[in-house]
Amino acid sequence: MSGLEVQQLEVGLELADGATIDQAALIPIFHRWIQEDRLGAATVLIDVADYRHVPGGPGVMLVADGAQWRMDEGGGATGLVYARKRDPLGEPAAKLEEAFGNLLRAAVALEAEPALRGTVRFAGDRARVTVMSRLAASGDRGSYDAFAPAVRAFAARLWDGEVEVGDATESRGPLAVDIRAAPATIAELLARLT
Amino acid sequence: MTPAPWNERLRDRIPTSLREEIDTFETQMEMRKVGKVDEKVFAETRLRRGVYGQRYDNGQRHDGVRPRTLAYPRGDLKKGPDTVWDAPGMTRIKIPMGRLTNEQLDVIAELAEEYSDGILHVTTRQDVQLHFVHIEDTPDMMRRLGAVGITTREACGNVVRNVTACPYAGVCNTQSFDVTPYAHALTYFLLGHKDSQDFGRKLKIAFSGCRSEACGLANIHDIGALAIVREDNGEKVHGFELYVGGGLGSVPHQAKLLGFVPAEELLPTAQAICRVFARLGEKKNRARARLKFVVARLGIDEFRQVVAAERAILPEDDRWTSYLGDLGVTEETPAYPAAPLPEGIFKKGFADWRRTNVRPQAQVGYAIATVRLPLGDLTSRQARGLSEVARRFAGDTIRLTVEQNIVVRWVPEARLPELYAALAEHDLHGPGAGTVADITSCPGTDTCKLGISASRGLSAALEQHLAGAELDDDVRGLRIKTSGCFNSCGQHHIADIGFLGVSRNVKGRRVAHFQLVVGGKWADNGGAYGLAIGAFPAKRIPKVVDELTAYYTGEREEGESFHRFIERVGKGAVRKRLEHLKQVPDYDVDPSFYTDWGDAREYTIGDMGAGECAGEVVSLTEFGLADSERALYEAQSELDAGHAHQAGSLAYRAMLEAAKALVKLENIDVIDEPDQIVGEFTSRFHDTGRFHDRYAGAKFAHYLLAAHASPPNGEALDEMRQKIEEAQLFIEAAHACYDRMQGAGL
Repeated sequence: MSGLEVQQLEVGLELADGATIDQAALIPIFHRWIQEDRLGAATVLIDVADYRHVPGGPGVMLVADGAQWRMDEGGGATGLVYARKRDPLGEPAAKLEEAFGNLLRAAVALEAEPALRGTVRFAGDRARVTVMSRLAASGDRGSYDAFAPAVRAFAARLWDGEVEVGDATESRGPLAVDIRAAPATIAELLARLT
Repeated sequence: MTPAPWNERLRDRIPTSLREEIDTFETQMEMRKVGKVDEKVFAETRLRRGVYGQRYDNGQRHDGVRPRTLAYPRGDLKKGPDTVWDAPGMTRIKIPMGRLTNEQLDVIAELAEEYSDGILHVTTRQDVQLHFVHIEDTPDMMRRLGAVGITTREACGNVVRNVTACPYAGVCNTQSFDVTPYAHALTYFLLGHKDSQDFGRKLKIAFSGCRSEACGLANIHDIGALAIVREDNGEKVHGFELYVGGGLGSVPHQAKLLGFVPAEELLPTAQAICRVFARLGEKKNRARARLKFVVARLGIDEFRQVVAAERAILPEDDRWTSYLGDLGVTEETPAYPAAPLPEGIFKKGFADWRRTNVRPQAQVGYAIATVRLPLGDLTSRQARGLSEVARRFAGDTIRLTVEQNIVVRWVPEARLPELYAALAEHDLHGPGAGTVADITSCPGTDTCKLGISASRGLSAALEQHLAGAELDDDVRGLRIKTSGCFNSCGQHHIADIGFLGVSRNVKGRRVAHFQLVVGGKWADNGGAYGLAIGAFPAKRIPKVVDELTAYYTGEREEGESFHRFIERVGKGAVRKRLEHLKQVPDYDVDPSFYTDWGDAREYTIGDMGAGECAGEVVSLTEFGLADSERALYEAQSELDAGHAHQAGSLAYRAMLEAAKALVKLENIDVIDEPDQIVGEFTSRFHDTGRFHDRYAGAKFAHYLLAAHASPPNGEALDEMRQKIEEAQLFIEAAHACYDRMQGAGL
């Protein structure tokens, strides 16, 4: 491990093959989550932002103090993304643990949402980690080489087995790492974290 | 490995003055956090750096069932009156003339995804706004912007806002000449100018290259500059017709012609107008504090005389004309040679896109392509894609438009099909730019504290509704604009069909409504303002548009425009025709009427807050006293670090700032030179006894006089601690003096 410190991680799970999402249905769900403090009282949920009009955009977004969840449609795939916004630089392992915990809790809650009638299922064999902070990672090959081992180690623990990681950074985009693993349910992944 | 912070990393890439401004802002933030700067002063300070409030930043939100307190970590810490420090806010990035380089666009894209919600929002005044930003991230954002030549200074607050201009300037077929270099010169002349710091409200300036088009909207601005070439003794004179006192807002005013000014008089005349506005503009009642009220009160003839008199006494300034020697400063070089579009069969969708989104340039063989942004939004990924596309097909710059789109200029016509395909890779190839389905909208209840109804939600619904409709050609060319309240940020007054958010009480429940405004004129630089003819339930607005346009297509006379049609049939007839759409079904019958567009919560107006559009009216003296306290704070920091010499110098500087703040009450032109400050302070405040404390007499004034006679420069910490204490007492006395003078109505 190179000792790279990171912050502002985004982690995402794609919808499973064949699963669909009605973004409009997320609006009342996220508002209800705010009413019910569904993601825990420690998370200050603020509002729901509707970006359905933006093609390939962030869809419907749940905005919290220092974090966001969104049903992102960018990059050719739809999936749930958790974005940490205001955290200090720190060790990757703890950052990954925190980010995946927040992502998986929301994903499990969405899969169980009665209003979605079981249409939403997330792919448990892949995920993406993005380091939004250019201060921490420029997105060049060197930053990938410094960060990827930490992602591999974390993912191996989360999936409890072999994983593959690859550089998914787009031109001039933030450092992005793709994870491929054996299929697992979202609930199983969450259980390994908690 | 901890990376170097942005202020170190970018130190050599930011102009020194801007770097110091940002450092100062960061210090002001620290002072606010420890209660050493008043929240009202801090609010106006951050506004002047483009750091704005956002809905729910008072820490309250109605969740659809009940009002709730948002438990922010530091709920008691405020960044302005009733504005919680930790609540997310909006950062406005001013883009003069809407002109952005590809590198600048890339940096804004980075900021949007790192600090905001990954969306760049283009405004009706050619700014980019980022939402859900924490105030403590803003200094680094400013540094990263500063490193690519952008400042957020004076993007908000009671100052000269972003100077806008026609996005086709320089490549337009109807322009008199390219207004870009003139707008550029005026932008940087007035930025931070001492004569533009003491307004009761904001001042907006726009440039237009021609009279008949809408693109520059010169008529709806405080100062609108219309490019004119005049013949004078057989010589062509480039200059501007200046229009003043225009503005929308809750009380729209048509601009009045001030007169023609040759180019060399543009800057001094604008400066004179600023001075008149600062002197005669309302400072207490912000509802009547815009320039339009000064023009209305005086009448244009007297206003003209007052401005001329002010102009006559202005001290000469080289900057008024020096830029005229380098009008090429904003010139753009096409990246590729011109080439006509050959005949051929093109990709599906290209023809539709070309019809609505492409216009020929004045330079033969080049085209301007409009990238249509739904509601002015694009993602960071799209922004990076767009900058790449612009590099590939056009050149180094793009321009933001007042219709919340982006134009790519200098595209060789032959490469338009490739451009279309490249835009499609980023979902930026939507057709319909400048049509009825390309709706302009303010943020409304999505993020604005003043929003009453969901203008963006409505606009999104209308765009979807109209995109799939079979439309008459004349209807297709109409403009729809929506505002979430009467302040008209969505420019509804100058739309063919405008909407502004209101609310109505229906059997004890609130229902979101929109006032329909018709009769506005988009062309002729926003040539006529429409009038509201009735409020309709928000959920019925698509039907209102359908029926209104059907009324027009069914009963128009040959060749009759929508504007003319409304004039002919009269607003009463329109109202009567649409009257049946005002009905609101009972809640039990259709509860959807009791929620707003794009929002699942039962509709309420309980989330409205105090707006920051007007900013806080903070006098130059209050700003100056805040500066003195900042210098004192820095003095204390230096002392704590064991730097006695620096601490002493800053303590002296703190007293000078406080003295200067008082002098500015009577002499706004006092320069930042110790001898003059102390001289003026002595004659105006010391010798007259006005500064004297009731019990201590002239004691505190003498601290300044002594420090001026022998500036503190020792290395003894105890001695410098004494100087800091003296400076503290002097500043307190300055506050007391200011309070006494205010109390006496001076």
